[in-house]
Amino acid sequence: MSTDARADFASEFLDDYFAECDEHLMTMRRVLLVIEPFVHQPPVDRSLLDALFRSLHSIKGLSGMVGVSVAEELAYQMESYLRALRRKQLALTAEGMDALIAGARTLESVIAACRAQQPPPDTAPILAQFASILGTSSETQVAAEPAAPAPPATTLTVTSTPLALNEQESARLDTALEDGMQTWCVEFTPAPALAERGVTVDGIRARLQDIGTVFERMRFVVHDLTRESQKQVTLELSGQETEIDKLVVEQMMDPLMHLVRNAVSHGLESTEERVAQGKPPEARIALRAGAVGDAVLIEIEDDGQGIDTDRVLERARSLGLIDAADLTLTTDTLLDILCAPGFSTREQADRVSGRGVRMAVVKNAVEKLGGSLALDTQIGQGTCFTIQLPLTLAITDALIVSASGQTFAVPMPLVREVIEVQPTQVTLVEKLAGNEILSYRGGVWPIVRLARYFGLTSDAAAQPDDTTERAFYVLVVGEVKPVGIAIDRVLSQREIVVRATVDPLIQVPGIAGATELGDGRPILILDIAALTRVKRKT
Amino acid sequence: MAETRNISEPFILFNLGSTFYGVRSQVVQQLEMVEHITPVPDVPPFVEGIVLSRGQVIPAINLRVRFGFDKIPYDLRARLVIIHNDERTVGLIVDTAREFVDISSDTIQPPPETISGLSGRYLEGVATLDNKLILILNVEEVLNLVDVVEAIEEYQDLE
Repeated sequence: MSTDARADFASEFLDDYFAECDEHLMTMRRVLLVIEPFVHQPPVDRSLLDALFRSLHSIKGLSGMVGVSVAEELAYQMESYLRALRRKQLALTAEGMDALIAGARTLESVIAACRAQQPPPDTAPILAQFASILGTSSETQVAAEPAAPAPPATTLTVTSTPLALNEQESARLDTALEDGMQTWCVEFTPAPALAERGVTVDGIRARLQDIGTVFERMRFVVHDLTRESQKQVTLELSGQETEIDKLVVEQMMDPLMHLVRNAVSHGLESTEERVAQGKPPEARIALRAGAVGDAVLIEIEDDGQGIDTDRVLERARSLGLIDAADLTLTTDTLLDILCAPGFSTREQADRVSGRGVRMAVVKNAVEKLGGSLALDTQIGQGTCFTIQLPLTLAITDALIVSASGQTFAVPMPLVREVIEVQPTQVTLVEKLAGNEILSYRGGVWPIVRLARYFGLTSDAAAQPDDTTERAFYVLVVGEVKPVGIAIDRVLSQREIVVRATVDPLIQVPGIAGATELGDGRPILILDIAALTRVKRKT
Repeated sequence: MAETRNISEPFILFNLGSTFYGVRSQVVQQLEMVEHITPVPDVPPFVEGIVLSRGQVIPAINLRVRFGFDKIPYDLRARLVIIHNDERTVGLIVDTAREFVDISSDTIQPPPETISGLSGRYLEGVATLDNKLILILNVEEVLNLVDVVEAIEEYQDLE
């Protein structure tokens, strides 16, 4: 790529970034205005909090992508606050509201400074403000029980994960259980130990939901856009009753909005142009969903101007994205080009592709879910994007732990407890084989050390005597017998999408698959059954 | 080899050291930078670990190790060439991968016997392009598990 083309490439990438942020900041301003009156009369409408959260999440991600770390950091802090508000771990106070408004203003200034290539304003004060708001979350600001529906007096509702309860909440839970109160968890499957004591799940996220809710949101998007752009558009929806995994819906909300926006803003001609071409003045955008086997297909089709593939090719060549000599252009290649970050044609007369940053994000989101994106277009006639997604994802709650210096995921349904023990509770049973057992609550648990099991360190065989320090164990119930897995520490508990290790090269006893926690880094999932069943030969 | 048909096919070229290798574009799913390889225990030494690509867990094979060369640390030019062949998807870690070329089948010769260790094994043939010698990879052999299965069995307890 010539240095000129490269500089243009980079500056257009940034242009997209600024344009995207402008939109998100605008959304935030609007929502903050709507929320303000609710400060003294909670609860705040969940969808408003969601909108704020999503905008901040997007700004955070985009800023990270282009390297504007000051904005990324502030967006991250604000996102954490929104997360706590959404989970009702905190209530919205006047102080919080002020911080949100100040935060939004500061974000705007930071991004504007970046645009003007000026140094950014000092974000330390606003970051400290949020830190202090978040820091006091476990004390006096815990929100009252959710307003609706009011649970009957004999029940205790737990909204945090059972392992993440602080002391107060833990004590309340124990008391409730002892008193025989009916207790339930919202959103999280209780650990087996709690389930045994009668804690049940109420209102657990239903795995599947109708895609109709997503489609209805698109109506508002289209409505706003058509008003702004003065185009006439009919939105046709079909297949609203198609069910799709809730997690997939959450991840796909933004990408679908981008595609619909693209269709209206860039896919459709103006009313005059349509009439001049003999097309009906009212344009048509169709959103269709349907289940095909174990996949869900979503189509976004418009009857607009289609994509000028020649212009796209030309632009791609000038940007150095494809070889000048490459004459073949399949729809796959076309899609790849459109999704290449920074590819964007914005000249007035050339509404070829819409915003580069968005398309790359759409493709990324779809592929991360194990889905695929396809494109069909005909110049003068319209464009159709087809998204294929898995119907359900194998999702499980997991404990993320660090053991032998590596991060692993342990499926929660098999976890009985996480305990901390003194060296005196560990007994070496068989020195040569290194078999150790753990005594706990009148029971005995054989110990599995992953370093030994997997042969992770060269002296793995020689450490059974190293029990001079307190240690943590995850007690799990496997197929054959319960065992205690030695770990360094627990990192978090969260839902993970299980990805199978399909290739024979990586099928290893003790590993059930892999997952990723949001940073693209694969984490291995332990196969508890195998760990309890097979004792390694050393 | 097949009778000579003059068909020109697109190839992707990559390097290990100063040696050029070619692999048919058709089997290449994508090229990625090398990042986030998570090691997996008990795998053959040439399997660096796994990567996640498009929601799929893919083994990352260090081609240098596979071919018996010295390992070198990754730099920004290192690439993961993700190949899809015979229902398997595997990533190959190479020093660099940038060029797309067309090679016509009449310029591909059988591999000479003097390329020790690799001839008849991982190479399908040898081509010359612009005075460059390009070793055409036999993807199936590179991915072949026959020689590896024994090694895997040693690591596993058979129940």
